[in-house]
Amino acid sequence: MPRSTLFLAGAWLLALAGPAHAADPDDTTTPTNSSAIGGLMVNPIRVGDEEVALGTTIPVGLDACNTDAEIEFQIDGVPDERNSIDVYLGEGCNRTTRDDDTTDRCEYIGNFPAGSSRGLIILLSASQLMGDNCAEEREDMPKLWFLAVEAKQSGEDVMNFYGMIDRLLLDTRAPNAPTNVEGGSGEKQIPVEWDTSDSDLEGFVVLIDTQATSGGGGGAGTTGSSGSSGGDDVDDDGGMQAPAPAPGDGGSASSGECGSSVLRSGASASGLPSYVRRKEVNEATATGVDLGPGDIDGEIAAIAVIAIDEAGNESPMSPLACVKVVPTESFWDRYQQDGDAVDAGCPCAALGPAQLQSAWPVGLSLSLIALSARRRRRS
Amino acid sequence: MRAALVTVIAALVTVIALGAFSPASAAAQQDDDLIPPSRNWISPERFILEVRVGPYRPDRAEVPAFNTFFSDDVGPLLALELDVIAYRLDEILYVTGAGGIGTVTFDGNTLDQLGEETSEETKFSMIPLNLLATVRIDALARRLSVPFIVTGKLGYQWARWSTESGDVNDESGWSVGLLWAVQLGLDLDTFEPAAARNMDEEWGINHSFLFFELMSFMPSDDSLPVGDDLTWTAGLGFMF
Repeated sequence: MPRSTLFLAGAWLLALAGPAHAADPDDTTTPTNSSAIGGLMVNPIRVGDEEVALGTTIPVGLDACNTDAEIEFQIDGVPDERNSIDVYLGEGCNRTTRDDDTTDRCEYIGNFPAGSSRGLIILLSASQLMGDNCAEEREDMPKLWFLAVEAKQSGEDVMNFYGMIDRLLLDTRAPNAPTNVEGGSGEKQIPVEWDTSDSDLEGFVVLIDTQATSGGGGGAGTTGSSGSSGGDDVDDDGGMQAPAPAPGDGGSASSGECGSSVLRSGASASGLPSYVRRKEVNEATATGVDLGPGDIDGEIAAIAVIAIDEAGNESPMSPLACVKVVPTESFWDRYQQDGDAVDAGCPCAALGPAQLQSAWPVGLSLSLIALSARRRRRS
Repeated sequence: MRAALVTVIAALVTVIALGAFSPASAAAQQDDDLIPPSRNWISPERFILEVRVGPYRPDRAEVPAFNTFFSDDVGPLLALELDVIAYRLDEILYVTGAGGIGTVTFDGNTLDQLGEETSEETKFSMIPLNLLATVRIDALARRLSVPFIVTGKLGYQWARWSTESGDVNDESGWSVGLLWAVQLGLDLDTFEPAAARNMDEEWGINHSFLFFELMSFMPSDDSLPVGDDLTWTAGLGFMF
């Protein structure tokens, strides 16, 4: 290999691994939970009952807002002479500019006594960070500042005794419902497919109504696509979508070949009866999943899909589709119907007579390989 | 992250500039100029490696079910073959023993009771293993600079097959039988002798060639008839 090529490759690797890359102060992808800057060690530990994974976004979603969940931080490195921690939230904050009534981009959250122990746990509630109105949609990542102070809201110079978390995701906005949901048919594998337009998803849940009624609409294709039910609303693409009754109207939705009294396009997925099964798909970019006959528990089921974003917010239900368990014929089933089909499984029937047949070509090949080995030894 | 990317790109540009104008590069250029035109040195030849791809279809007449479920599927067959050189008649021919392995998969959908396709998949996959004796004649390329290498192969193949529907294995087994092939190779050394010499000196690759091969696998009567009466593969080979 030319020397210049080796030099180039080596230098490229050095550039990737070198200090110029690692020293970027804005690079928060470093796998640590500590604060991004400042002398205080601020570690987010828990949101509600969920532990915060190392170095990841700290999601505070609609559920956390509704339940006013506690968000727990551990703070280390508070000096003895500082009595308490002031907490501020907002893009306009920094270690000197705080809640000074000149900007609404930096909000004072509260003061927490440092106590005698310097390893401090601070509990903030979701309402302290997001306000009381969870219905107001938001999706932002404001910076959360922790300043070790001698006096509450004094405006003093905290020098290096501060910490900042910029991975706090305050998100009460539900993702969009998956679209173009299609349910398949099969005996052992019943595929479900969908499309999605959101990019901040954590996964999906397929809701399976095992007590679906058959013949909900009519005129559906064999795949039971949600876009093929006669008599339903026509969507923008010219396909047919299942109707979307208003939540709580007590009606039922149908998708051509099946109907459901509990799954409704556009409705919330909370409060569904226990016979509605949930098949979780923990893949952000998934566009389908295979169900088994055990998931459907019968011949036909109505399904809807919901998307889950990184903050745990659930989308409304997608349009309905049907999945069916039907007897199928595979390649092997069809081949076995041939009169002269051979057996499978144990290869003995084929290998037994073959030993004689294969003797001379195999012997010749092995002889040549052995000759080659001898030739190499002698050379 | 963006800053890091900019840093890396800047580093790369710097490195390329240094690589282009540095004394080391100049020295390397001088080194290239000092390489003698020919040293008449050839590294030992022990093996031949072939990497190949080509369409594959089990015999349609003997397995009509293949047409029903995999009508448009022709694989492809991906395969490797390693020959060990048993005898070399210089600049005339090689006699080798060879072993090969490959993989080919066919996908389709199961049928419902009305004969309509369902959403459920049915698959047939095969891993052919073979032992071959080969004769490879390169006299045209070496002695007359006509860039063709002709090869004949004969041996035996054990093809491990399995079929599944809906991600559940239906059956599996072996198909065994004779395998033969005829190959026409295009010797690349003839076109770029200097590059061929560099390959030998730096990597120990004596010769390289492109090839087109006709092959036939004839499973025994007790085997699932997954042989292909006549198919072709093409690929790249190295002698080293």
